[in-house]
Amino acid sequence: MNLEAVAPLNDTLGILGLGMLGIFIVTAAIILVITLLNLLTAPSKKKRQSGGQQ
Amino acid sequence: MDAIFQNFSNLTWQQAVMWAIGGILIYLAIKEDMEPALLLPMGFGAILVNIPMSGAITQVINGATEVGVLNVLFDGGIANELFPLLLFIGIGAMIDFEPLLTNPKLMLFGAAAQFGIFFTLVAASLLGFPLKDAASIAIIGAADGPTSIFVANYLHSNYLGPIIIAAYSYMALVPIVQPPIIKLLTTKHERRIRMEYTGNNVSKMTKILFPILVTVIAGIFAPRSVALVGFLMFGNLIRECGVLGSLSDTAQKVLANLITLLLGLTVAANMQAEAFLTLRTLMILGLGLVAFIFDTAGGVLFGKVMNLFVKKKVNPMIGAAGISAFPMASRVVHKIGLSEDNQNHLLMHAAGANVAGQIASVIAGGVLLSLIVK
Repeated sequence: MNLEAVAPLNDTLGILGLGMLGIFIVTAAIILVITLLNLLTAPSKKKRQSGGQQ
Repeated sequence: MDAIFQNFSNLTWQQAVMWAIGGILIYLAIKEDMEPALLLPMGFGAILVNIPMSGAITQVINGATEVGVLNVLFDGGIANELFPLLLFIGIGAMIDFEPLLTNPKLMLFGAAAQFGIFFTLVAASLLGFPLKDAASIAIIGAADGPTSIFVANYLHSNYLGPIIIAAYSYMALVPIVQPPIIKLLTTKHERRIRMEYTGNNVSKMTKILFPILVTVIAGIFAPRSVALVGFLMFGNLIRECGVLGSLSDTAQKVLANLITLLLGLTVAANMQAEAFLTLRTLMILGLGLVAFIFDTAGGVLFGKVMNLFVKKKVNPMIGAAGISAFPMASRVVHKIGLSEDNQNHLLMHAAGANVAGQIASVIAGGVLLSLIVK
């Protein structure tokens, strides 16, 4: 894109749509990673119970 | 004797106006406690560079170029994006991502509240700003000073000074700008929605892996955001790893303070009267406000739409906290929640959305650059 020129409305609306879509895609990937991390690294119930008994 | 007084005749009314603007910035910093670490050096810098024949900035005198210290700092710290990136290490070390890691869905509010950036890009283009300046002005909506500086500088915008002033001023004005928009877009019933906070214990492993994985994900999708996200997350890794306590303290306090001090003073190199006192500066200040308004609206409206599909309703006000201005935005939401129902404690949810906004704003900067710089 020509950065020195004024962008036509169609182009800027396209950036708006693609930009928001891009952010939500990255966001979805981050949510997935956090969920997986929480699942994989959460202490198991068994461990918690034995911890409690100690 | 003439040599002592001759500089009086060089003073222009525009420079005098810039002294007044510098004075206002210093006043706001000291009296109103508005981003004092930045507005005070910027205010002082504005006076410094608008003294006729100021030796603080580069100028040509009798055909010879005299290099000013502020231009040296600008070239060494801002023109190459060094200062904003170093500042991000300090900011990363300050952030506790636990409220977000406990409830990852809050990340969606951070994404929705970036709407103001892209809306403002459209508005600025309609007002006749070239794409590089329209995008730089739009990024004021990131509500994040270092990101604004990074993007505006990357695009070689002609309006770096006004953009930075707008970004930091509106961040400080969040408690004034956001409440009317939140109230306009929500009903009393919505503002009273209570949200349960189940403070799951997030494991240390998650806290350590999170900054590393976010850097990789953001880097793959928006490679131009790698420097910003990477430095932010590196700071957070220092904080969370548990073995670099003194480095974390240094990053949070000494590094962040030192860079902020130099950044404020150096930004003023772009506040010379002839470049600053233009109609375009006023337009940029107006567009900055538009960006913050539509960020807030984007977050709140996303919360309302979300409520159409989920069983456990969310308080749409927390969408307004999805901007990067931390902790002002989450405090605003918490305060409005309490004013509607004194048992409605939204702080942790709002804080989660707020730190999500910090990540999302940086990603938005990277996505914006990826889309327009091809």
